[in-house]
Amino acid sequence: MLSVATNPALVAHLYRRAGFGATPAELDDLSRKSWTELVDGLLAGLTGPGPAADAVPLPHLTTLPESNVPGYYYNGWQEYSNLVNWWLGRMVVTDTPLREKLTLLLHCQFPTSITKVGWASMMYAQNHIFRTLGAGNFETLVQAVAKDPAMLIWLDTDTSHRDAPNQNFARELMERFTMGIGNYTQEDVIQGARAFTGWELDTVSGGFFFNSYDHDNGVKHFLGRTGRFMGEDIVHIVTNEPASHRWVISRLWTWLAYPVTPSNPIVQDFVHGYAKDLNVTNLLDAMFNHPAFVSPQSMQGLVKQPIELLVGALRVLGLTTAPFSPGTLQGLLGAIGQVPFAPPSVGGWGWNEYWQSTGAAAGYMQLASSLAGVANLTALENADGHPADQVTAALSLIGLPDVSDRTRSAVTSLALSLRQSSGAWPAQQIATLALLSPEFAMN
Amino acid sequence: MPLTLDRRQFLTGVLGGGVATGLVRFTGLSSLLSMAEASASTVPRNGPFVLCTLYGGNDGLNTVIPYESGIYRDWRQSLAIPGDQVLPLGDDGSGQLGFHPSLAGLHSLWKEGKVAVISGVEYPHPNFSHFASQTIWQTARLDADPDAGWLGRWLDATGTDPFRALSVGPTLPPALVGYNQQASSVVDSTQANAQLPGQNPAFSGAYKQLMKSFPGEPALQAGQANSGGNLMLIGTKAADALSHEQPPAAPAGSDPGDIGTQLDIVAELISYGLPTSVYSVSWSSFDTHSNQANTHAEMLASLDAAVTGFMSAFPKAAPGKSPVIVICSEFGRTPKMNASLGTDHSSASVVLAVGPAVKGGFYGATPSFTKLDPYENLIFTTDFRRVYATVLEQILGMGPVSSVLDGAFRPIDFL
Repeated sequence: MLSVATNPALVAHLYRRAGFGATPAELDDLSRKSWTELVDGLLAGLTGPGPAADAVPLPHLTTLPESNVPGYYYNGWQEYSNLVNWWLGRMVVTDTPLREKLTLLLHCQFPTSITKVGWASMMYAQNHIFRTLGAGNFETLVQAVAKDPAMLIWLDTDTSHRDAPNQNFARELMERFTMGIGNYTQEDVIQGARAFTGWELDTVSGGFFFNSYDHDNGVKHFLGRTGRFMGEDIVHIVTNEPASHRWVISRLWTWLAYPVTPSNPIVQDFVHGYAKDLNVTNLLDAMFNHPAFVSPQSMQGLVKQPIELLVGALRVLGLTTAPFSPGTLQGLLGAIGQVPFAPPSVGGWGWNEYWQSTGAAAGYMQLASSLAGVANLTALENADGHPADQVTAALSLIGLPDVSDRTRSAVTSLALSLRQSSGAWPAQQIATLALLSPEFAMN
Repeated sequence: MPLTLDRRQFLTGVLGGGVATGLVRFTGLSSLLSMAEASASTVPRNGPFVLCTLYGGNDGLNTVIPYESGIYRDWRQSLAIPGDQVLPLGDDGSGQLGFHPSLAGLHSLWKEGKVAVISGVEYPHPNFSHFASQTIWQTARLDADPDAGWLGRWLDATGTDPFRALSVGPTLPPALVGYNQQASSVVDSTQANAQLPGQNPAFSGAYKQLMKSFPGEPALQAGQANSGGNLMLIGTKAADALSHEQPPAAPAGSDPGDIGTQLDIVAELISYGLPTSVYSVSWSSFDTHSNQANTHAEMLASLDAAVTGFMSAFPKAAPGKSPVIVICSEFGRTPKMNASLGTDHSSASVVLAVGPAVKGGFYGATPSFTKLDPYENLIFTTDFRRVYATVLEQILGMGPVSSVLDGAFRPIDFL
């Protein structure tokens, strides 16, 4: 196949959205490839080996059976911090970035918090489901997530009983996970909840257990259908509804291109393809190849989520999570409002303006200075010549070759004034300021 | 035993490490103080208003308890709070009501006449989705479409001063985001990072230059710039307030938790005299679908300690220092207990207003226990927008019909 080079700005866009950004050196290399080669390469990384990320060692995570040993001490906070560092570490070093990105987006789609689940091992198990099943058939994924121990606890399926079913999971399954609001009634919630009774967490094995004695096997009237539905039937029905097709497409497009509702016309462009097989890899392929993905609306359509900004900054600075003790990056993200495994509610995190408050700006200032404080900036420190060239070098380092005059002149004025007062090249502060630029916050 | 993460510990991760105290070292106070003086003439008689949002759906029936009702006991079975444990409030006309036993501090404030209990609050055609019902409460519009928040529309109508509304925590509740204006947010400054480059005045000058949007800048990128610009406007003063004021002491033996820390910050900012009319704090999660009894008791105890500690800083009404806390949630919970020893999403619930200038007593009306909606939920008696109208007219000084609420709503006479 003839290889046609791709505009580096578009490559950078693709790698920010489908991953966590590319370094300038990576961009040089990638820009020699055609768009099709780039997209196919990212999609190929969704399955098969991912040696770089898999080399990040998984910390010890106590399982439920392990903790049943009398006298066992479970340090949940420590395990949680270790787990956060592990996942952030994977995102930073991965050579299959779309796989980690999709895992993150599925965490956003099925927001589950350790503050209720309690077990870091269960949060890991759910994360593993997202990573291994997320790129395939969406119904298969939801069937697995529905029985996942973290979810059984998070939305109370575990404690629902046939004599008075708990509505929590049935409602959020439809509202947040598969269809969106307005596509079901309160009666559907009540009937759906009956079908999930008897779904329990086995505290001995730590896995899913179907308790037929506590299952309501009566006839249910659900979304216009009638039958002795089981939980699996409900998941099958909701994931195959036309409303679900539009919902899943709109959610992914919102995180990859720009925010849309299910009724946005762009959603319709993907419905036919997605409805055929509910295959997420094929859907991503179609999205990355849609002209609107590289439209101005898309290019200016998203700010980075804090996790994306942190991971992207670590990557361009040549850092891993290693210099940071467990809890440090977690705390920095917490000050901005997005800690992995701890979304604020089942509603998850918002996007764009949601991340633009004065409080978040304060958090970003601390994040940027912490990263610049440990990065190896000798290349900048040794830079010589005109300050303008040094500023260009700093901006290029973090992948911002083309910034506004406003940003360039702000960084330049800092360089000049610090150099006047200290005589040194203030690489750390320059890098901090560049990381805080509004341009770097754009995804 | 699944572990419940310690709230204090979690807070350290979430709110800790704010940088505001770092900022105070590198920007002068003078410009901010003059801004504060300019706003001083507009300080209203009541207020500031402190919006306290309990996310998840607080169980109104077990907050203000109809403890003599046999129907209540049938509904709640083991979740029903026995009459000898409730803290009696008196008869509102529907029967005897009492606070949950965790609300001892609020009960004392009730006896001092500083607590308004507003019963049966919600809106027509209840929506049982957290998201939709929160959206309705936040926008004060019944279509549940995400839109400008009601306090955001108040900000739109009253200028551009970033001090007018402050929210605690890094992300803003949608209620405080308008079409053009939004609240500022503050984070806990008690753990300043000494390594901040902000100690250098050159850095803060360059940061201000960097965080100034320019004509034609793409909207989201400009929004990013403005968030940093506004941080520089409010950061110094908020940080100064937080570093000079002592947080009010919580009652001994209680854990005010996350909400306590947030209200401590607000108390410090009010005591310092910031020209701020609206503060916002929020807390999750009251979504007690399972094993509600202990969880709810603990959360109410923290809320009680937090509010009581906060109020101890404001014993008497004084100009600019008569905070009115309004505690609300997106819906109440099902009258009937579910099989998980919890309750599900429902409708009408109770709103509490607390403050030195509040006229204590019963407002609204307890819904009927015999006439329920088709899904066996209580039917609301009092539109939540009447609470907002009270705030807008009697604290924020807006006229009876304004652009903020779509239409006129009769205020409730609790101020």
